Amino acid sequence: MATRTAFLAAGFAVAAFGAVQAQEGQVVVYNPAGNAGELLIDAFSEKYPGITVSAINAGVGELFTRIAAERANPRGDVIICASSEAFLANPGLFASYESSELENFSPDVIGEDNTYYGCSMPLQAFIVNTRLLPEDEHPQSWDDLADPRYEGKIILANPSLSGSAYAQLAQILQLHGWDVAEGVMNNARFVTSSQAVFQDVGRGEIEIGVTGEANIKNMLDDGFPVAAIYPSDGTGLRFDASAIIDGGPNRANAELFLDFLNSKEAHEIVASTNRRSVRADVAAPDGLAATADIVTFPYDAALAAQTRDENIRRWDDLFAQ
Amino acid sequence: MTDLARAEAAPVPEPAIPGQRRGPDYLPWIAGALTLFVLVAFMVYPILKTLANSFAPAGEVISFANATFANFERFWTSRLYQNALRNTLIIGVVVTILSTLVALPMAYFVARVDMRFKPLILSLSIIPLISPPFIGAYAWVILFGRSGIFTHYLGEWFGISVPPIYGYNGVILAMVLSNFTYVFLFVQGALAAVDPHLEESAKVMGASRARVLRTVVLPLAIPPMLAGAMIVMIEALGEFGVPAILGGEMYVLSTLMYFQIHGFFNLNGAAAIALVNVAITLVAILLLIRFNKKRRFITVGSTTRRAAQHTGRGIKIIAYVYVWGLLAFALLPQAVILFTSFAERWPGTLWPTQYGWGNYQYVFSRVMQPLQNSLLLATVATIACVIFGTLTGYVAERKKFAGKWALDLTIMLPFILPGIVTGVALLVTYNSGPVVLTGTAIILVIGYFVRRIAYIYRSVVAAVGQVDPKMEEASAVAGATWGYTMRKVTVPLIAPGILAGAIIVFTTLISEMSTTVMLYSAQWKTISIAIYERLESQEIQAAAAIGAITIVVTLILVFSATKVIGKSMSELFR
Repeated sequence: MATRTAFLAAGFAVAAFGAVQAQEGQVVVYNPAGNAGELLIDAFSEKYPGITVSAINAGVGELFTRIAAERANPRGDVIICASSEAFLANPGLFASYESSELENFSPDVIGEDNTYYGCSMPLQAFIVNTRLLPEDEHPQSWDDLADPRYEGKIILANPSLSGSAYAQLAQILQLHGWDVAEGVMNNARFVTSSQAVFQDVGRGEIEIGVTGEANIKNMLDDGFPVAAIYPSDGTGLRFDASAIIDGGPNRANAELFLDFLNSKEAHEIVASTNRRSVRADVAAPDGLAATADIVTFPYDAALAAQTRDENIRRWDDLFAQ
Repeated sequence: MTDLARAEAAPVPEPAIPGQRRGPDYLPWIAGALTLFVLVAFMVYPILKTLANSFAPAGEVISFANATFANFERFWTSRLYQNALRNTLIIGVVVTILSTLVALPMAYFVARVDMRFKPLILSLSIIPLISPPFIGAYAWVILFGRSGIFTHYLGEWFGISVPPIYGYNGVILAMVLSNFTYVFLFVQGALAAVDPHLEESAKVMGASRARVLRTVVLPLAIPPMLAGAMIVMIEALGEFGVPAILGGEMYVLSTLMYFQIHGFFNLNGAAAIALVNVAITLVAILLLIRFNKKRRFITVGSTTRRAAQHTGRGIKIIAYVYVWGLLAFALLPQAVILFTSFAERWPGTLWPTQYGWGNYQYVFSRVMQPLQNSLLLATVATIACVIFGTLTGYVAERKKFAGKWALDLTIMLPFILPGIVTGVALLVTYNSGPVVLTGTAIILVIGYFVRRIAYIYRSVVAAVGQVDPKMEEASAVAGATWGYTMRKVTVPLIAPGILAGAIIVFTTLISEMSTTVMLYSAQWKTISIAIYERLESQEIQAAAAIGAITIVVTLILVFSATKVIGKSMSELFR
C-alpha cells in the first residue's frame, strides 16, 4: 500500500509541475519475453532511476489481443521482443520511430517505416532426448524427420493452432515441399501446446521434438539429458522485435526505452538469457553455436503468412485422414 | 430456524415494527432495476458486442458491409474442427456423468455416516479447484507419463505397464478428479439438511431401507446434483490446460479457441468457436431446466433436528475407505505441486536431484503484494456475487415471467465463455468513452463478478427450490415487507447454499487467470499472474512454489473464515 501511495503521489507531483521532463515520469512496458524482459527492465530502471517502469507480463497472444482491444485509448508504451509474425498479423498498432541505434540494425530485422526493431532470433532446432535415442540415431535434417524409422518418436506442435509451429511447417514447405511435410506428419504426434514439445522430450516422454534453440539451451543448463541439433538443410532466419505502441501515454519515455532496448548493452543482456541477438556486434550466447556456423536459409515470413490459409487447409485434411 | 420462528411470530398490529408494510413496497423494484442495470452494463452489452465480431473478418469490427461466416467455415470444411467438436461433446458428457457418479457416494457418506474430521474432509475437497493452469495438468505426466514416477515403480515392482496417459483416458481422469467437488458439495449440503421426519415416516409406513433411499433420499438429491453437474459440464467444456497437456492428438474446442488467440491473434475466430461452445451449453441448460421442472420437492421444514447418521461398523469402514481414497487420488496434482516446490533441481530424472527452500526464497519478494491483491479482489468480488447472485437466483426461481431463459443465459454466458473473451469484452467497453475503468481494481472486480456470479446463482436457484413458498407467504401475510421477508425468512433458509457457493467463488477467484491477464495492471497484479509469469519464463519449480503458497493460504483462509462465522465447514455445507 505504501508503495502505491508513493506511486500516486509521484504521479500527482509530475502532473503539478506541468511540463514532464525527459528521464522522469512513467513508462508502461508489455513484456512477453519472460525473464529476459525482466532483466531489461531492471537495467533500464538502474540507468534512468527517475522513470517508473510498470510491466505487464503475459504471452505474445494475450498482449497483442490486449493492445488491439486498447486501440481507442492505448495503455501501454512499449512491447519487448515479440515474434515478428505477431507484427505481421497486427499492422497499424505501432508507431514509426527513428531510433538512435538505427544504423546498427540490418534492414531485414526492421519493420516497414521503422515500426519495429529486431531483438533476438528464435532459431528452430531439433531437441533430442539422449537417454532414449543414441547419438548415431539422431536426425540431422528436416528430410530425416520424414524417415519412417522415426515413426511415433516425434512430437510437434500443431501448425493450425500455434504460430511457431506454423513457422516450422512453412520452413519445411519452403525447403522441401509437401512430400517431406507428409512424411513428417506420418511420423509425428501433433499436440496443441508448443511448451509441451520440449518439456515432454526433456522429461523422457518422447524422443524428438522441434523447438526454439533457447528452450533447448535452458534445459541443457539445467542438466536435462537433451541435445540440440541444427538441421543440415537449414533453419529459417526468424526474429522477434520490440516496438513503440502507437498513441501510448508516455511517448517520450517510450522512445528512451526503445533506444535502450536497441543498444548493444541491452542486446548483451538478451544474449545472457540464451537468446541469440540480431545485432551483428553481439556474440551468440555462451554454449550456442555461432550464427555463422549454423546453416540457415532466407525464410520468407511474408510468403508464409500469405499462403497460410491454403497450407493450413491442406494440412488439416491430411491430419484428419 | 429461530429467525424464521421470530418472523412468523411477529405481531401484526404494531405499526412501529421494522419491516412492517407501509404504503407500496418499492424494494423489489429497486433491487430488480439495480440487478438489471448490472446485468446489462457488465454482461449483456460488452459480451454481445464482442461475440458479434465473430461474424467479422479477423481484426475487424462487425458492420453490415463485412459480415461473414468465414470464422465458422472450418466447422464444415475442416475435419480437425469436426473431430474437435465431437471430442468436446464426448468429453463433456462423460466427465459430467463420471464426476456425478464418483461424487454421489462421497456426498452420501459425508452427510449421513458418522465420520470423524468432516470439516477437514470438506475443506480438502475444495482444494482440487485450485489448480494453476498447466502445472496442475503436468502433474499427471510426472506421475503417470511414459517416464512417470508411478509408471516406473509399477513396472519395476509389479510388472504392470500403465496404459498411455495421453488421449481420452488422461483427460477424463484429470477432469473428473478436479471437478467432482461441485456435485459433492452441493449434494452433501442438501442431504445433510433433509428433514429426518421424511425418512422416518417412510420407514414407519414399512418401506425398506433400499426403498427409502430410492424414493425419498435420491429424489431430494437431484436438484442440487443437477446444479453441480451443470457446473461440471461447463468447466469440462471450457478447460484448456488439461486437454492441451494430456490430450495428445485428441483436440477439443477450448484448446482450438485458446490457440486461435495464442497462435494467430484471431480474437474473432476464437469468439466464433466460443459461440459454438455457448450453443452446446445452452442446449444443456434448457434440457436441465426442463428435467428439473418435472421434479419439485419442497424439503426445508421447520425442524432443527439433524439428519439421521449411520453408525454401523460396516458402512463406516466403507465410508472411510471411499472418502479418503478418493480425496487422496484427487489431491495428487496438488501434492505434486507441493513436492515440486521443494525440488531445486529436477533435470528429467525420476526424482529431483536436489531439494531445498531455494524456490521459496526466490519467489518470496514476488509474492507478497500479489497475494494481498488477490485476497482483496476475490473478497470484494465474492461479496458482490453473493448479493446479486442471491437476488437474481431468487427471482428466477420464485417469480413467473416471460423470457426466464434469457436471464439464465445472461448469467451463464460469461461463465461459459472463455475468460479471455470476457476480459477483452470488458477491456474494449471500459477502456475509452464515458466511463474509463481500465487499470483500476474496479474492472478486475467486475470481471471476477461476471465470471463467477453463476456459481451463486445456480446454488441459490437449487436452494430456493427446496424452500416452501408458504413460509414467505406467511411472513407477507403477517405484514412484513419483501425486504424484511428476504432478510429474515428466505436468506436464513438458503444461507448454506449461498455460503457453499461463496466459498467456491472465493477459492476459484484466487487462481483465476484468463480474465485477469487481460485486465490487470502493474499496481494490481494477482497471485495467478505471478504463477503465470514464472511459467512463461520456464521456471516451473518457482511457479510450483507460488502455487503451493496459494494452496496453503486458501486452505487456511477457508477453514478459518468458517470458524469466524461460527460454524464448522460441515455445517456450512448443510
